[in-house]
Amino acid sequence: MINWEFCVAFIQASMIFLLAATGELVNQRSGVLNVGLEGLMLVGALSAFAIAEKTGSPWLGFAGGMVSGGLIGLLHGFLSISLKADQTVSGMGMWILALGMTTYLGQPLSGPLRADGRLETVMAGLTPMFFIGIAVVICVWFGLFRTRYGLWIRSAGEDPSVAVVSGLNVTRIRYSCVVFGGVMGGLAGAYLTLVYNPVWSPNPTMGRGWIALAIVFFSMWRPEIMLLGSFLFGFLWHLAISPNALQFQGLDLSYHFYRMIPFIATIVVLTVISSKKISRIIGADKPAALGKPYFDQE
Amino acid sequence: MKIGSYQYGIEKRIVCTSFDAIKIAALSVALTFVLFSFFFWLEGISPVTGYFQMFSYAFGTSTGMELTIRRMTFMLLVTLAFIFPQRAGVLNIGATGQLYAGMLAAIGIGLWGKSLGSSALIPLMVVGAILSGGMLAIFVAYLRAKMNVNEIVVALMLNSIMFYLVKYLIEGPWMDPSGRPESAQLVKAARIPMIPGTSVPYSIFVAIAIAVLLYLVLAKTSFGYEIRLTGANPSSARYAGVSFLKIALLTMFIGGAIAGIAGIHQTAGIRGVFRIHRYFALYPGTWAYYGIVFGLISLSNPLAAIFVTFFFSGMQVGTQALQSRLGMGYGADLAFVGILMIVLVSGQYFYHKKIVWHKMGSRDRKKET
Repeated sequence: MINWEFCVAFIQASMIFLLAATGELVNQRSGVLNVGLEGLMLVGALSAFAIAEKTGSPWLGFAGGMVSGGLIGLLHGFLSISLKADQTVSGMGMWILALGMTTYLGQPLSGPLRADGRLETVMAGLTPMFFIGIAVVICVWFGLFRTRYGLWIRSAGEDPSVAVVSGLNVTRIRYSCVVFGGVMGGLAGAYLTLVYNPVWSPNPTMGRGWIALAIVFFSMWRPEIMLLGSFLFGFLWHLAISPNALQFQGLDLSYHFYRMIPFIATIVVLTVISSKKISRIIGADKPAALGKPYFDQE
Repeated sequence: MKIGSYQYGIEKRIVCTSFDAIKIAALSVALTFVLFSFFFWLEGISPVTGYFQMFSYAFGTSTGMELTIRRMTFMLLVTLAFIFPQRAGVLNIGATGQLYAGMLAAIGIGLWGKSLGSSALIPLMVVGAILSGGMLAIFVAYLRAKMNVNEIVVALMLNSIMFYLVKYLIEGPWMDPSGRPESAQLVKAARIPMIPGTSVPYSIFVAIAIAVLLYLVLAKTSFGYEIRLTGANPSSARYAGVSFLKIALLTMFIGGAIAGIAGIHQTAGIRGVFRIHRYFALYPGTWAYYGIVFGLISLSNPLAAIFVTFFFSGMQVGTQALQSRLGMGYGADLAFVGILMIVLVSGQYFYHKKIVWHKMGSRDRKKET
């Protein structure tokens, strides 16, 4: 049955989606699409795990995950902003590189994390990362909609040529957002391997990054809906790995089918949200310049 | 910028000819080989020795050559599965799921029709794989073209769903009687015959024939023209009366069907069983992502894809030989593909720009990509 333990577990699972999606949301608000979110998480996960394993300090691990995520974000920024490359393909490349690289480099580390590298719970089964994650979302909401820099970010994503005319440095704004997205992706990965499931095995993210990407798409690029979406998918994901928590009477399905739930739900929700009727009601805030490189007039 | 006695600069490229594009692709591949040396450096192997070992195994030994051609069959098919919809501007990221669908059809029909003869069983398997792979792709294309749902996310979700379906079937109803976590062995009649004297199944000819056929369709037929028009300029295609929905559905169906055939090759052609590797993320579904990269290198040309996949399948077989010979870890070959993809996509910058240089104090200019 659903009890507090189940709730804590699913909230912890939601944090992975939440952290990754927050970074991606800011990223996309500035007009840069990073489909390599899963790759950012993988890189963050491995570097955090390796550092925590070597030093025994989870906080150094988190720092390492964020730095390496930020570096990958910077690389994506270089490709998509400076070189004006196809953002989808470069993001896919980033992910495949990260998948191969982390599998290869992570092999000697396979196994559980040493005990003092893990983060202890502080309150009723919740870790400090829960509070940090919620705080980050609030800050991002405030930053995007209540500050001048947030307005700049949104205008860079909406119409970069107008932003340039009004005196903004679109390149710099986009770079800062892409690096922020990378840092948050790395943090999400670090959280995954240091707190949520402190074991290294190849491909620890198992598609969570893609779901986080989908959460951004159907959040209509609004942090508050994204927060709800993250909890919804955290719930579904946790349900998928522990179906016994909710006993479906008379339903004797293999666990494999439960594992499909979050993925099927993603397709359903995305389809519903994308329909013309719904997006007219909610008023999609899709950044108009999303995924398009900005070519300055030469 | 000044390096040595030369002055370098970047200028705008007005026209990018196909020769320029080939030059850029070739240089990108060369740069990737340089970057990949990092992995040899990590292992303490000299890159020259490493690459020599790789290529001498893949192209110089008969075992290696057979492996290369077997791998090439697979890679060519998944590459074509990406190229064909891509020409119409539709991204087929879901080749992995379509591949699984094809594999399931092959295994399912192969296990069900044990008593049938080869001449009935293999066509049935092919039809099953084409339909299952194609339908999965159509689902994505329909959501994309009709409901405007992001096709990348849907395709990737389907990949995960198919993965768990596969896992369920081979750990459940279709499990090997001995209890190993793999599917039961296909009977002899359900296997694609090998070219006599080798361990290469006949499917290589099927793959090459499909490549040639797709090339002809794209270059010579009005359907091919509609595809190219939609890919080059969707709005003018709409004005010309080409239905995007029709083109998206048809190209994706064909792409998915080809990925399904790759599934037959991998199960009925090579292994005869369906197994999920310990590093399941890297085998064999993930290989389908290579199709995207090889499609980009071959500049979406099905004929070029034949040569590109031959070369890079050798490269991949060679890397795996290194993994066993020199004890390199898993994942290096996937990382190579990732690097290649990133370098290629950044190389597209030079479709619009070119590097020029000239000697200081001299007026004659030389141009390069």
